[in-house]
This record gives sequence, structure tokens and C-alpha cells, in this order.
Amino acid sequence: MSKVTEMHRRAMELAERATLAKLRGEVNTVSTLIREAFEEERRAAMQVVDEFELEPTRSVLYRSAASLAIECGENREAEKLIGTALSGNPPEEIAKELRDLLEQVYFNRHLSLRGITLQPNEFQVSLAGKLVGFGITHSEEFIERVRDIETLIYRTAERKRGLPFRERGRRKGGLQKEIELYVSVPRAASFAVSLRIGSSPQLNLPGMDFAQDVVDEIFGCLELFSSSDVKPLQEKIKDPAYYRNFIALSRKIAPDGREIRSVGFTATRGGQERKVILSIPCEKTPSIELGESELVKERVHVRGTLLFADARKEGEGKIQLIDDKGSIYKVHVPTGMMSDIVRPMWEYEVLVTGTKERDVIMLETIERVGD
Amino acid sequence: MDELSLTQLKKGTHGITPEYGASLAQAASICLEEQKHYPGIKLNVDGDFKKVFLVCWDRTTEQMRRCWADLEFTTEQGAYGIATLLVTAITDLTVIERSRKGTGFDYWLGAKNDPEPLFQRKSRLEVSGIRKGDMAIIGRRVREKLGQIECYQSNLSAFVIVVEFSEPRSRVVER
Repeated sequence: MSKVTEMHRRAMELAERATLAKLRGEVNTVSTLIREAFEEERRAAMQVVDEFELEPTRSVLYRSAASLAIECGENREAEKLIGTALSGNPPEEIAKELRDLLEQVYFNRHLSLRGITLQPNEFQVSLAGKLVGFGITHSEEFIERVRDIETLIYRTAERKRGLPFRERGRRKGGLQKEIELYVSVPRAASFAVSLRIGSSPQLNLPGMDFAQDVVDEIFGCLELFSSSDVKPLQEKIKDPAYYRNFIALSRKIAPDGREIRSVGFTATRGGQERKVILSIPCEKTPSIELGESELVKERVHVRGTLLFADARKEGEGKIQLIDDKGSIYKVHVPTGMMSDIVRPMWEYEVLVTGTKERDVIMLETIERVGD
Repeated sequence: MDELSLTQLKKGTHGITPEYGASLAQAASICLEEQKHYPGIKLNVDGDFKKVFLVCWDRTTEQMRRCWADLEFTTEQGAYGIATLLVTAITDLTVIERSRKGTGFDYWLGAKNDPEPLFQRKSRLEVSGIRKGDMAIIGRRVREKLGQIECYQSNLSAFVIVVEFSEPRSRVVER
């Protein structure tokens, strides 16, 4: 046992060093250390493979090795480790965690394109979770995300073109046509569809593919969002209105952690698959960073129906919520939030989080609740 | 009044190296300073254990604050820092082992110099951090954490610790 303990502790030290390297932004070091940790933890787990009575030791070591395998992208290895752990007698809560990991492994497999060819201006979106069957999903969970992805595409295109954030008014006809969104028939892979941006053949000229640039930009930003790398994300999206808009839309697209557990994106670049997985529940994803002055103010959560909105003055959006006792809450909406985030929630019961200044709440997040 | 010194984490525990302990201490210090607290602030503990501690730490630097820019991650790591010290202060247990879970760690508590094999007869430590929240939010977090572990017929014992940084306050519940 001391040998197993020694191997396990070495693995955890390596994983710990990987976490610290990640904090310092040393990406290559992180992947080397995680791989070394995985190899060491797998060796430790293999030492107790036949010790069926040694629980929870056996199952925890296997779960730990499988988690590291997933981090290394070794999905098949993770599947084998999870299978070995479940073939023993793990305590119920560890067994549940192993099954959750297995779900993640299968979702990673479903992210692969499996014969589907994607053009540079196309990408695949996959959903997994309780509300997703093999090739079927709850319509609202899917349709709302596609709508938000479409908005994300359009906002990214406007930003890439150097346009100021459009707080009001319709999308520009030319750009709208250039980056129109097309959806394929769904595929049975958890639940997956291909999305194509733009249809004009001129757009596919080498070096002139604006749609491809937009896809790359969205993948780059979502990668930073999924790893909660806020600073580089802010450097990428410098305009505060675009930044707030991106964060709020990405939080809507992210899984809720209950009904939808993962949302994945796959594209093809240089013959290789590029994948981004959003698996952190939206409530734990980065939110809009508060300024120094806002941090000292009282943070509040209010719940009510969105029944009043005033977007007449740019940058001074106002909404009001009315709760079931008839109390009215006034909320100030910052730029980047009114049109895409707040407006679709009109007449719905919502939960607003923000900072309070006198009788007005400065909006930080808004989400639909009820039903 | 007993002191909870975050600098203690720099020495590590049986299951946490000094380097990692130091990073947990940094995260907790950043969470506390961001809420305008100074070393020597009182931390009220309630739940299954009731006590008040004086929390002390080394002041943070601009470089540290830049390094810990991710609000959620810093809050979670800071909460682990406080919880690690709290559990040692109010029980005869300490963080003795860790295992990998997702992209983070699962913490296991045991007595120092525990002769039992890995994870045998150990308690799990479930931690949640809140930057700024009232008693209702703390209660909801505790219920969520307990809900996650109480639905299993399991013989694994656990401690749930929720740390709120604005008051600051902590609730400790033993299952």
C-alpha cells in the first residue's frame, strides 16, 4: 500500500504543479504536468485493480486517474479506467461520479465529426444532459441556444468589422446577408447540428473568408470563457459593451448543470478538429467584472416579472420588475445588454443580480426563472 | 479569541504541499481584501460548530491580484484555504489526501499520522465560497452541498463548509 500511496501523492503533486502553472499562464507546462500526473495516477490505480474490497480506495484512485485522462484528451483510456472502477464495488456516491465522468467521455466522443465534413465557415454544436436523448432533445433548450449563437455570430462580425456596439436598431442588411446562419438536420450524437455562416460562393475565396474569421474568433473567445481566463478575454474584446454582451450570451449558451450538462463546439482547421466544451454550469462561469467603485456597494438579488423597459436613450436603458406582492424594482441596464439579453425576457419572471445605488439596481446578470 | 492565520497554509498540511498551501492563502487574502477587510478581522463560524476567529494574513500585492483575476476560481480556492484551516482548528482532523475531480481536487480529511490506507475511513470535505451574500444565500449553498451528498446510501462521512467573505462568516455542517 505504501507504494500506491507514494505514486498517488506524486500524481497529486504533479496535478497541483499543473494548477499553479495554469495560474501563471504556462500552457505547455500545464499539459506536460497533467500527462505525467495521469501516468502516475494510472500506475497507482493499477496496483489495486484486484483489491475489490479496498473501497473507496480503489474507485477513488480510478476516478482520479480517469479525470486526469480526460484532461489529457485520452478519452478511450478514461473509458477503460471508469469501466474497471465500476466493475468493482464503489460506494454509491463515487459510482455516481464515475458515471458522470463516463457521460463526459461519451460527449467528447460525440464532439468528433465521424465522417461529417465541415467547411471553414461551418461548425458543429452538440448538447448532452438529462434532456438530451440519442438524436433528440428538448426543443426550447436547443432553439434558444441556436438563437443566442446566431446573435453571438452577428455581434462578433460587427466587432470584427470595427463597428461600434449597436445598442438599438436592426442589423445592417449587407452584413446580415454575409453572415446569415444555416442549420443542418440534427444528428444522433447526443444531439448535434452543423451551423453554416453565409452562403455566398464569393465568401469562400481563400484569404477572403470573413465567415471563417468569425468562427475562429468565436472559438478563441469561447475557449477563454470555458477556462475562465478573464484577462486575455478582456484583451481580445476591448470594448466594454461588446465584452458584456459576449459574457452574457455565453452564459446563456453554457449548460445549466442540471438539464443540460455540456455544450460542445467542433470545427475543422488544417485537417484537424478544433473543439471547445462548455461544461461549467452557467452560474459558475465568469460574470461581468465589477469596477472598484461597484464592489463596495450592496449586492442584491431581486425576482419579479419584467414588465417595463425604456431603451430610448443609448447607454441609459431602464427596466422594471414587479414581484408577486406588487413591489417595483428599478434596474439600470448597461450597454451591451438591453437588446440581446434583456429584451428576449420580456414578460417573463426573471432573477436580477446587481449592485444597489439608492433605489436603482445596476444590472450584472439576468436570468429567466419560474415554471 | 483563537487566531486563524492564513500564513500557516504556507507550511502545507499532510495532504497539501507548502507551494499549493501558499496559493490557497493568496486566494483567500485577495477575497478578504477585495471586501475591504484588514488582517485581524473576525470570522463568525456557525452551524454544527460555533466559534469566532481572528483572521490574519500577509497583505496582497498588485502582482498577486493580477494573477488571481478569475473571480469564481479565486473565491473557490480562497474558500478552500479558509476551510482547510477551520477544519483543523475545530476538529482533530486535517486535509490528509486529495484526489483529482474534474479539473480540480477532492479533499479528504483524516487524523494526522493516520495509519489507514488511502481514503479508508476518511471524511470528504465539500467547500463552497461566496464573495458577498446574506444568510439566505449561505443556507442555500449548504442545502445544495448536502443535497448532493445526502441522496446516496453511503458510508462516507463528510464536512460541508461554506465561506462568505464580505461579513466574513462560515457555516460548518458535519454529515
